[in-house]
Amino acid sequence: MQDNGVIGGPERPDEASHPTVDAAPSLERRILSGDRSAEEALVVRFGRPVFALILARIGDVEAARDLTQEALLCVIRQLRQGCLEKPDRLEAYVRGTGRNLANNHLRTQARRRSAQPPDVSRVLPGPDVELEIRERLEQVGRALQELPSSDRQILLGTLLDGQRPGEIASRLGMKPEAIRQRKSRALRKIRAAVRRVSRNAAASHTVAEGDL
Amino acid sequence: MDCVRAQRDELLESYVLNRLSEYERDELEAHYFACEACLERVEALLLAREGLARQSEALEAVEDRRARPTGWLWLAAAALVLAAVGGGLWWRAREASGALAEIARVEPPTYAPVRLRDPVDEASARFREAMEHYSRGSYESAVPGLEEASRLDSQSPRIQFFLGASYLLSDEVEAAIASFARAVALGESPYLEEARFLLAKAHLKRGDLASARAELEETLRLEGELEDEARRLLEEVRALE
Repeated sequence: MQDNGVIGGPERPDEASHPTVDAAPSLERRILSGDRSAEEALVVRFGRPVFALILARIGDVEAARDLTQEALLCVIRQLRQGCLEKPDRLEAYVRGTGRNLANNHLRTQARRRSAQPPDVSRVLPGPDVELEIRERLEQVGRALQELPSSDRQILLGTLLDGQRPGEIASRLGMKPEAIRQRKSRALRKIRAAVRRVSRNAAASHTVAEGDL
Repeated sequence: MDCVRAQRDELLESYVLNRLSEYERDELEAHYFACEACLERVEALLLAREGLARQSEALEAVEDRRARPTGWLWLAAAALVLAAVGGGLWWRAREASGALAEIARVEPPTYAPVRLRDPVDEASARFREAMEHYSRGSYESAVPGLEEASRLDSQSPRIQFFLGASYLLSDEVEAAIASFARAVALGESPYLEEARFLLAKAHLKRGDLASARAELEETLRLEGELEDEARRLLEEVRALE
């Protein structure tokens, strides 16, 4: 059993009040019984939120991509061996694994840069996580280029400079409420770009119906 | 934590900017692990931040290009002018029909292939084969397969949309209009906004400014990704009317 402070984690607030979307207990038992499709389903279910969690904490897309795959593979290996300490707590377990990997990365960043990242791309079951991340970045990149200049300035100020609407409003000569509205509109377009990739990905993961 | 609270008071932005306490951060993460809508919002913020950071230099180049209103098409036109003068040809001043042709120009809609192991039905199989032609830019070659897919599944907005796009890019304008109209009639879908926008382009191609204007106004009502582009195009259509 891997023991580098990666696995799971102590319970966090409100974990019991968030029902999981999937039938998580059956997913754990299926993986324990050797069901490879359940492992793919786990990657589909948790790939995006784990990537978001890790990226939010470490701010490095390439490292977050690698750590996401490492986290998922780690969870799968533990589930194969039946090492989940608390049954029916799969979501918290996955979150804790991602969180610990991110925190380890931040603590040992220098050592990680020189170390070879684990090659998980050939062994992680299910969809190509790296490809989906790259597609999302491409779509978002296109959406950003299509934004009006002022909207892009607002997002730059918000997300890169950490400025509040009032500060951006002063800089651009607009009212704070106008800044909020334009930011909301710009982010709506970014979400639409992300959604299209997600829907294509979802269509490839499940039996297609309706749209196809 | 619930969606209302997560989406209120710029909490998601604070999360992305690492302004939350450890407790708040864990609470929010527990929420979006189970909430697709909030996960999507978090992803959009994270990816937008990454995209802006990567593109900061490239965006400056885009800003300069927009200020001069040049794109690769104008650069190509400028090169053509130089070559024409050098070759003894003359460039005629742009006429109204030339202006209409310019705004009716269409960029091929993006197609992201769906990675299915095996096609789930015949319509999907025909669609996937046809889109291989589309992805290579062979829009005319894509049409027969997409027509077959449409016959097998007339309720798929995606099939109707790409059939319309293939027709339009093959200059079969009337057929394009019919396909886009069917895509729109199928109601809410990821293709609705772009179908309306391209329907406007199709109307422009045949010189029907009134119908193009009506479709652009409908596109604006959707307040989606193409809102700004539709607004710019609508202004140009009104200028021509």
